[in-house]
Amino acid sequence: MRKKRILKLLYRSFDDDLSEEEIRLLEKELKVSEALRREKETIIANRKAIVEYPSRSFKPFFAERVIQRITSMPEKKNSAEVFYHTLKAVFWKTAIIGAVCLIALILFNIGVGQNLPSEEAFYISDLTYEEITQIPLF
Amino acid sequence: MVDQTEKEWIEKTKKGDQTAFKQLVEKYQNLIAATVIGMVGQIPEADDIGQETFIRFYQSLGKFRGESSVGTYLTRIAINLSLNELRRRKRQNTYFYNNPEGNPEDFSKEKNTEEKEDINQIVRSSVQKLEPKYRSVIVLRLINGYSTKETSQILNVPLGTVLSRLARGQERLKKILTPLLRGAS
Repeated sequence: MRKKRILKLLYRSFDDDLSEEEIRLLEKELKVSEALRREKETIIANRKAIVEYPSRSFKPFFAERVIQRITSMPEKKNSAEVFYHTLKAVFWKTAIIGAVCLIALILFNIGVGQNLPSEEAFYISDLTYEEITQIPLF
Repeated sequence: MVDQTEKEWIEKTKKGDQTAFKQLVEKYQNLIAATVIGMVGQIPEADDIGQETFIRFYQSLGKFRGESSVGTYLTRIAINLSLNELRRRKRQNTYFYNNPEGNPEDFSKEKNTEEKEDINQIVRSSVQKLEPKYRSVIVLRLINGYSTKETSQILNVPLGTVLSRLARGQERLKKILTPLLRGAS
């Protein structure tokens, strides 16, 4: 248990500030323990090997590749534009269908009503609701 | 936290000057290379992750307030993207160098073949054997040279967790590295 604690302390000493008491304890243990001294040397050697770790660069022209990708990215639209395009996407079909129906209705009115003046085909007649309901369908 | 030159580069980039952003990339590409290659290894995807790191930074420039340094901000993005790549790899059940992560005991069996490699190769592959959570602290603290406090901020974990992961990571690394370094020397 104590050995484990000292070992933890040894590792911590490389990355953290130890209290004075901890420093004293570690130094005392290092003086008496050959194994602990060996452990310390091993840690130093391993850390040195990692610090001198190779491969710290990407392939040549890395910055150019990043800029090229940024340049080829589609431009980001602002929120008003996004809203307009969403609205357009949702309602354009409805608008076209509505317009076609309206034109068809007008043409139908002009076609069936021989005496119907062309102006009247475009606006509502003067008939009241009651008069409309009294018109025989067949 | 952000120095004057970098501030100017950022402002110019926001106004559409990509030459300024290129200067930022050139300044930090080695730091990001060390982070990404340390995390995922020297694989073709490392370059893509590096590029993606800078692109994400470019896209979030509007949100960047300069509370942390550009290097720290970029490193955080690079670590997250690298961890995503490691998760993706794990899901696909493919492992770098065809070795299971975090199993140093098995590694000693390969000692004879690994002895033929140079020390650089040994160190590189040894770090790749660590579990991602230990690997990330080793990369940030030992390879990138961040303090333990900065490491905890980048990984968003408590300082105590960083210290314990560093200790455990080094213990595991010792099991892998020491016999190999002895064999190589």
